[in-house]
Amino acid sequence: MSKDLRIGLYICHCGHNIAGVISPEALAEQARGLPGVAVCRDHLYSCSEAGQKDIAKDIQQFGLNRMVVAACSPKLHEPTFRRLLAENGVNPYLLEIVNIREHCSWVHAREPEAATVKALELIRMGLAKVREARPLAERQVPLTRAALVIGGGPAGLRAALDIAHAGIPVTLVERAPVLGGMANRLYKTFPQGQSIVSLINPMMAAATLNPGITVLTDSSVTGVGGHLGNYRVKVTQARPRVTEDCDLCGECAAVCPVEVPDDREPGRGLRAAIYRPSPTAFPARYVVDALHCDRCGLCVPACPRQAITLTAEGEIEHTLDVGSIVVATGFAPFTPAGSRYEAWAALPQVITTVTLERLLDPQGPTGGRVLANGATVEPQDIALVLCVGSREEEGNRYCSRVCCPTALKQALELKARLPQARIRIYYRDIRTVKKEWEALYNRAREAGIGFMRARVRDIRPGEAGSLVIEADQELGQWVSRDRVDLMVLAVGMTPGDGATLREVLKLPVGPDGFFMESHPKLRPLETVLDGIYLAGACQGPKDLAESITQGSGAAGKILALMAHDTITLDGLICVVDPELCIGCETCFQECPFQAVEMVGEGKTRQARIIEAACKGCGVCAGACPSNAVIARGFTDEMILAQIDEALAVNPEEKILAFCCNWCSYAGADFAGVSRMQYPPAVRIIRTMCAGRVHPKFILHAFARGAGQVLVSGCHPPGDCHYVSGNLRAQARIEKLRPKLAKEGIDPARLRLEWISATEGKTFQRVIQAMAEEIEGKRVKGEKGKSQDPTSGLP
Amino acid sequence: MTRRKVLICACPDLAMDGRELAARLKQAGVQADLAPPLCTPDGLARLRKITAAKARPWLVAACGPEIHAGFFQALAPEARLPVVDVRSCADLESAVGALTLALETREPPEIPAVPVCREVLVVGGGVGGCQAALDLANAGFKVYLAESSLSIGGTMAQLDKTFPTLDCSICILGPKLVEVAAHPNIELLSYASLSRIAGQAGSFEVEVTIKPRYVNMSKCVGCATCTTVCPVIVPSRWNLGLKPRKCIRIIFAQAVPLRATIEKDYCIDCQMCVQACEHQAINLLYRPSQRRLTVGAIVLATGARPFDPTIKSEYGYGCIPGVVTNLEFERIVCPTGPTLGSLITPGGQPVRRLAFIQCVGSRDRRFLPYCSGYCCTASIKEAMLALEHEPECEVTIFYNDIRTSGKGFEELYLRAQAAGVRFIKGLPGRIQAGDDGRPVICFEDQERGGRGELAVDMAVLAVGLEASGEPLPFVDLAPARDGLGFYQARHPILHPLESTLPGVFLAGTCQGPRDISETVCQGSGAAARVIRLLTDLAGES
Repeated sequence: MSKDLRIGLYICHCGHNIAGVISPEALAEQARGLPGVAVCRDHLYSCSEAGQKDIAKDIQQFGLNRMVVAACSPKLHEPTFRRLLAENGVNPYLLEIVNIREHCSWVHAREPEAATVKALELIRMGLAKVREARPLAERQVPLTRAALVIGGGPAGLRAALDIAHAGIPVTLVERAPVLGGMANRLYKTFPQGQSIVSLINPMMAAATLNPGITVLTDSSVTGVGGHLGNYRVKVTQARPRVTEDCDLCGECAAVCPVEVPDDREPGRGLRAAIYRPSPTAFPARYVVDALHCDRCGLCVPACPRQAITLTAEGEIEHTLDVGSIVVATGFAPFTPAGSRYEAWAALPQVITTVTLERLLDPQGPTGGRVLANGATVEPQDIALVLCVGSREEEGNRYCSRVCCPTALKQALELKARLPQARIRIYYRDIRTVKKEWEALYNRAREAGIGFMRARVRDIRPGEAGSLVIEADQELGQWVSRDRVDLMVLAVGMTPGDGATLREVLKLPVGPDGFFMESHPKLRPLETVLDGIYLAGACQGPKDLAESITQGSGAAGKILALMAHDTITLDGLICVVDPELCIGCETCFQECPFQAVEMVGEGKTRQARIIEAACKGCGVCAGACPSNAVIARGFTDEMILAQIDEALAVNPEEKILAFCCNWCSYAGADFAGVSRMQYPPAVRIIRTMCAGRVHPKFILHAFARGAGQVLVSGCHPPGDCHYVSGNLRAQARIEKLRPKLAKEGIDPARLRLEWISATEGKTFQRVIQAMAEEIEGKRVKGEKGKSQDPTSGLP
Repeated sequence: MTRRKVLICACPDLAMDGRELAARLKQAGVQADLAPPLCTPDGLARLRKITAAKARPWLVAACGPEIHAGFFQALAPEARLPVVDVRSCADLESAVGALTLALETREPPEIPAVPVCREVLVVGGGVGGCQAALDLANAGFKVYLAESSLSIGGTMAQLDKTFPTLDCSICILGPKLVEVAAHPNIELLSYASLSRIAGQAGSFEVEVTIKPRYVNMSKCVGCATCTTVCPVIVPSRWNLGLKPRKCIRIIFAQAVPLRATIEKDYCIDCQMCVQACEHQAINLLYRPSQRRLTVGAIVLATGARPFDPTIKSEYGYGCIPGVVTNLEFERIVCPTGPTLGSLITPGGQPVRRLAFIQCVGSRDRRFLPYCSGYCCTASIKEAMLALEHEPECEVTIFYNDIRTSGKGFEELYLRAQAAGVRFIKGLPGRIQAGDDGRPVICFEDQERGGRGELAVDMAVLAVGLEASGEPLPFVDLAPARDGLGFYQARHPILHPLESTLPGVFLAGTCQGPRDISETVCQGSGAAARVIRLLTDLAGES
């Protein structure tokens, strides 16, 4: 093999950035004779067009089949040089970038000699790695041109419409019997005060009419398998007992003898067991309440269109193949039951903003009159209390964002309906953070609505059916007692049980219970699972416009995906060597992405990696007890060769550092960019994830005499780019420590540190501390030598 | 064929009583029927019933396309009737007028279809513009990204950290900028200004002027050798004047494109850079160049600018050296900023006492009558950064309401309280210079009562965002802006990403203050809406 190696080694000056500390010419002189190096040159700027042209010429002239570039961080120009290789007919993965700028010249600026020695060793490490490199193929994965949208509220409707419009078939799954989600329970929107019907209904109608959208109501997603481009989804739908022939005549409900409380409109009275879930929502059809229907069968003959079949039992299972999924499961309003507000909410004069919304609706249970829980006169003293179920010390700590503008809108509406009423709002901070929302706040103050910055301490029944609110006033700090006829609790948003879907989708949720986006700033619509996107309030409280924007945004992501016939994934994935796999299932259990499957039975049972689902973190390879998993691009052979080179000379003075690509390696880069100086004893080996570091690497390093070993990854729990690779690394290292002690290696020589991409300072501090340890040991060793005159004798 | 019958949609949002409208039309001899809201199942059934009849002299009085979300287009072709927008009519008279006019008008001739261009112009290379460009480019559309500055990145590139996770701003943004520059479907036009926009959705003609950098873009490698020899030193605007730079410079270390530029106004024509450049990239004779683009749609992501607190003179900005804006503070604590990340006053003194003053310009009827949304959380983040730099620093935030409403923001607020940041309810009346020149904040504590004075080493003004003033050179109708200069959405809830001009879309702070994640969502959303429009137009033509 080594005979065939023709490596081109290029050392970059990077202007003065490298050459100001290290002499690239001297490095080139020393490196020229290293095994496998066919040509070695230094360039002022290897990345410049001139440098690239020079390298391209060499590839042809010398028939190069490997390349090492000693320059800046691979984060910057690895793609550039990969492209250069590919353009010149060499597999782009036969490349190693040696970082002699961020990790050497910039951080050892005051020790040019030591930096030069280190740079040469880094180059040797890079050569050792590239000698073991194998050509890798980028993967082309076919793509199913269909999408699934989970949730038929505003965000889901908009996503479905935007995707379907581009000609991609969409299945829209809704748990309820009708589309519209929480919007069906609103009357008017803030800040313009438009009726919700005129906003949500056109979208609902358009989605129902669109031939590209299949609407499945009364349905839930019960299983998701597969991966980006090819998800297989199981949807379970309650078998409809009323067919599409229903023309809404209502004869069935008229003959139905069952009477149950109407769950659509608390306080509205009774409904039949066959009923219409909403007068305005789609699909427009009567439904049978299977729980209360006594199968008397009276409705069947009553239906003039024979649309009713009460014998329809059980569920329909749909299996969908889709390329991508939008999760738009929305929110549920906070319910006072079970919280510290339970006793308050039980009082007849206390309602929530959700109920008030229904009372304000002329189509609502009271015909638009503000009569709570059977009251006969409309209230004259009304208090709205904000932050119910939000910003709690115990419970939901987050702010629900929309309750302030909702309460302001409702207060204004109440003021318009009941001009004589005295209305006040108990608030902590008024959070009208949008341009138009602040105008609503101004209007409310101008309308004479009172605002009290206070925390409600208690409410109790007062005289003549009134309530007394006792509150700690924050401005001036006094206790107020306030008599009201109606108290409205402005309830916040909760993830509801939409988040139970997370078990099915295996999507992480944050501490607040809402689905976690991939990155809060730059990837707010993406999830950790490629091809699954978030839209609307299932990701966190937001208003209608924001939800609809996210619906479009998620659609945009899918349209970009579906513009291609296949998906290209890089070649850095793991594979299992069937010769070596013992079927122990360790990798199967460790993989954070369910990308490992077990095939075969009994003795032939072996692990296999689903290439399209593999993200290449190497967590499986870091755990495999039988060396059977090959982490392409970061194989055992490559890493062991790097360790050997790093520790070839004076190993006891060295710190061998395994740094994960995303956080710690970037953190070391950041230390470089910030010119933070630290001792040149460290040799960094990059892995994709700290979870790739197999204990055998650490043992090998100590066997070679390494002074200290560092394993470094992203901060737990959430920073890891592979969900939990950092925690796997931690578990392995904790397990390794006693073993080290048993073998006579001080476990303190092994460190695990979490260093994020911005913590250059932490990286500097850790390396300084580890170097001091080595120095301390050396000094102690020397002292020991001088004190004990026999120590040098055989 | 003239139409004689009107079907009125009983939309709950009609400004007039639908029955009165029907009555008025009947008086005028027109058959007018009031139907349940047409987008409800009952209304839809009614609509289908009348269109089932062969003779269809009907006209529908309902809402405009900004509301109906394509609902009328989604109807089967035989069910489609001409729709007159009466929902936006302010009163009965104007609705009657609009309908009468429509009844008298003969069918409009078919508008000749223009060839639809599948290329898109994104104006503004901040994070919103970059996101829109990337999503469109990934969907196979050719994108021109026009940026007026020397580099893309916008305001986010100037920030030290982002809230609520305190991520390094440029570290997370940098790769996205590189992705934009390397994308085969994106052509980056930096240092560019638009000089003319004409045409309509599907086919806009845009003229772009590329300002000269006096540096050859394909020869320059960004080595910055020229900046070391340049003898002319001027203040760096990118660092808000807090740091000197050379007349020839690379705007910031992670700039995209990473190219040098001479600011000709300051150049003394010494030719030293020309001689120093090994790549012969510098040419002092470059002139502005023109590009003519034909694009199907335009995404405006032109951003907003920080409020200038000089006009709020009671805070002494510009007079008292220790008074800085929040963006200046970001530069000061940033490792690439003027102090290389040391938290010191512009006078070079350590900061032991620090105060933030919220709502500077915002929620103030004299200046910006709205809340800028981002500043509370930004100040809390900056307070946390200050404590990272100087753990002993005393930090106070003067506020009116703390508005940390966004995912993870309230949690950051709680963390700041736990870390010892002091929050005082009450916006200071003024800041004056103390005897030692330090800022002294005069405030009233509304919670505990009483007035006080607080001498600090640095007072940070959390300034709001205001609309950037320059109108774009639309030849005909321009997208509407509100009284404050922000672009108006076509509909605030249903069409938050469309401007009032068809084919022109909005993303980010150009339509009002918002934070980075909202801006990014809008960028992606605008991309989807552009694709939708261009698909529609291509289908029609």
